[in-house]
Amino acid sequence: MSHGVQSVAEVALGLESAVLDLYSKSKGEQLGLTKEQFAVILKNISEKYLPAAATQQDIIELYFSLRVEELALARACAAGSERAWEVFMLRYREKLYDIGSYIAKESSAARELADSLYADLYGTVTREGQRVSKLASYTGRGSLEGWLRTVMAQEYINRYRRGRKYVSLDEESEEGAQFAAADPEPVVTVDVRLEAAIDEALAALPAEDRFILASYYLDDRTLAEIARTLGVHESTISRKVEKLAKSLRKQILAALGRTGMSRRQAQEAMEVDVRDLRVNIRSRLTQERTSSAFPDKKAEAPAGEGSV
Amino acid sequence: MEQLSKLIRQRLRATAKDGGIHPDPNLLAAFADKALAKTERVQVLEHLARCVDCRDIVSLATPEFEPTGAVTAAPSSGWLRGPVLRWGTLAASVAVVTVAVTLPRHLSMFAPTPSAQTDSKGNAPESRMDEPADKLAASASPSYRAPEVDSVAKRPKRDEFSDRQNAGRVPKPSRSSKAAEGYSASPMSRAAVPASPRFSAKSADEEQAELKNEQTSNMQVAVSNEVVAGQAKAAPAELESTPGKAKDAPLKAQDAPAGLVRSSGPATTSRTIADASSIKNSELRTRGTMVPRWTLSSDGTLQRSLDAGKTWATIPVAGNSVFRALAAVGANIWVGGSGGSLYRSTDAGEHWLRVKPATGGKMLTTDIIGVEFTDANHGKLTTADEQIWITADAGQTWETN
Repeated sequence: MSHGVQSVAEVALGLESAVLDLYSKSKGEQLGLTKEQFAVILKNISEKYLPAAATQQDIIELYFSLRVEELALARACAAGSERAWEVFMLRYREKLYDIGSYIAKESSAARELADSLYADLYGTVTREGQRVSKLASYTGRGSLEGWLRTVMAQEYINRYRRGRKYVSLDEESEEGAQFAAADPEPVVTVDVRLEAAIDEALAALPAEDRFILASYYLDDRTLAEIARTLGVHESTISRKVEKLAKSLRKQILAALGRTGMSRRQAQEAMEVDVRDLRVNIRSRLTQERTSSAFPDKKAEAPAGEGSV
Repeated sequence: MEQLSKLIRQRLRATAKDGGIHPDPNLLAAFADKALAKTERVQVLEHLARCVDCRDIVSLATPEFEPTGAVTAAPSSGWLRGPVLRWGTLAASVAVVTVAVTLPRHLSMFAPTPSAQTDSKGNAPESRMDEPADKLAASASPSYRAPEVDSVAKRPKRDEFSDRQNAGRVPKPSRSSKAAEGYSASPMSRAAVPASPRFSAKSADEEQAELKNEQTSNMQVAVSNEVVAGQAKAAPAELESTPGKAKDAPLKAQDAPAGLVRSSGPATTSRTIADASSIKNSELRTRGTMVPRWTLSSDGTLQRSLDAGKTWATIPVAGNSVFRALAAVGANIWVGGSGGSLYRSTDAGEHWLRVKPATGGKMLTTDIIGVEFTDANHGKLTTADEQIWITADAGQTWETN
């Protein structure tokens, strides 16, 4: 927050009025955030999420999609404004515990989770005496509460799943129960042509459908949970899963047909006995595509931000 | 199909990739908030489809209920305002009617109307189904119509996955408003149309038969009604249809005897109630601003809004109780929470009295997680350790399992 030397006009080339408009909406002034600081924050956010070639229109659209009031609050807290911190405490302190219990489902773990995040939010003091707060990485893309939920969920996953090997077995059975090792379902199949056909059919699906399938088949989420995450009604997901299973079957049969299999052979391939053959999953994993959904620039978490 | 699911599961697992760069928490949060535009949303989904960690995070970060704070803090959550409010309130009243129509069939513990209380305590026989409905239609004001909302019949056939569905969750308010919109778009939204005496003149069976025909012709309605039905089902006893009562109460918004309750805590089982007895569609707009709404904050305090959810005021009830359940029937408000604390207000929250449920030497001392009242007198409490307490006289005497 030490860039405040440049004027708003300099920072926000051509976007000055939009930035000032948002600044007044953000009520950052009352929290001790200057309009110059605010302009720098916005600029950094647009650099984080938009490609260098983004037009002014893109930038403006992004700016106006931000939760500027919550952004100003978070950043003012990070900058050390006592006033902002008071407001934050008032609004979110209790919520942190609620979120903790929602996520951890168990009171001592919930409290620990919330306290730990609280400490990160307040900030750790560096050797230079500067306080570094996790709130500095909030960008206003979603609600501040949603962000708090997300970072706490991240922390939880980190601790109780990644860290599972470090906790004792007793603890694991209590706290990590929901992350118990994936069911050792016997590996089915495998005709390589069938594998290829399934992969092909899956790859052809839109991302959302693959997300639904993964949530449903791999994570064993309920239809209601999936619906909640996607913001649609449960029945929509119910129909979708049914439809997907049907159409996948069709696609796979078709793909097998293209390899020269007769329809009957293809159907038999799909009914193969579970115990007959095993596939070496490990080898499939290593050859799996490695492309990232996110260009480095966008997805890279700022230093100190606990990406999983 | 079982074999196929196994194959799919296996290939999904095999092609899953924990690697790649995880989206930053801001994007995941925005995704959970449904705030991402299409391109970014697809990018996030693309990652989520392959990353079990991020799927877990997003799932944990999606609140079970719309957070209370969002109403005041978030500009985009203005679902309480404007036209949506109209339809939202309508949906609430539809839900109420739905309950009225369906309750007897579900052999509910509670009678839907005071006039039907005499044959409450379950076992309302099928042959009498039309009675409560008729009485309802007769005792309620003309706009209290909409018997076409036969929620049960309209639920689409459940598939093999139904065992994994969570029936108990209350849909988010935004969804109910969506439902209401779907309703409005359909040519069948007769709930909004001023009354016809048709219903009470017909038998319920005839009505249903007719309805079923209509249902098949309009999927959208089926979907929207299912949402409403889901709401009603989640709160099997939210009903009040005593037009006269609210007028006697020193309720601030006296001429708008419709209370809408939102609930936020994960453990809460309370919700929407409207004594919508005299609401006509054309009046909803003007009345909307005066309808008192009730909610429990996430930290267990009771809040009331008199301006359709724009601002919320904390209503002091008593001491340090943390409230987890709420029921509002006109001006009668019940809140329950930690350590068996139960309070009742008969004047829309101005004054509170502690109610101590006890029967046969047994006192209710565990946390109350559910409060349901069908009218001023009949109610049910659910506790954290699964006790059920029932009163038929506004909390004077109780029975428990």
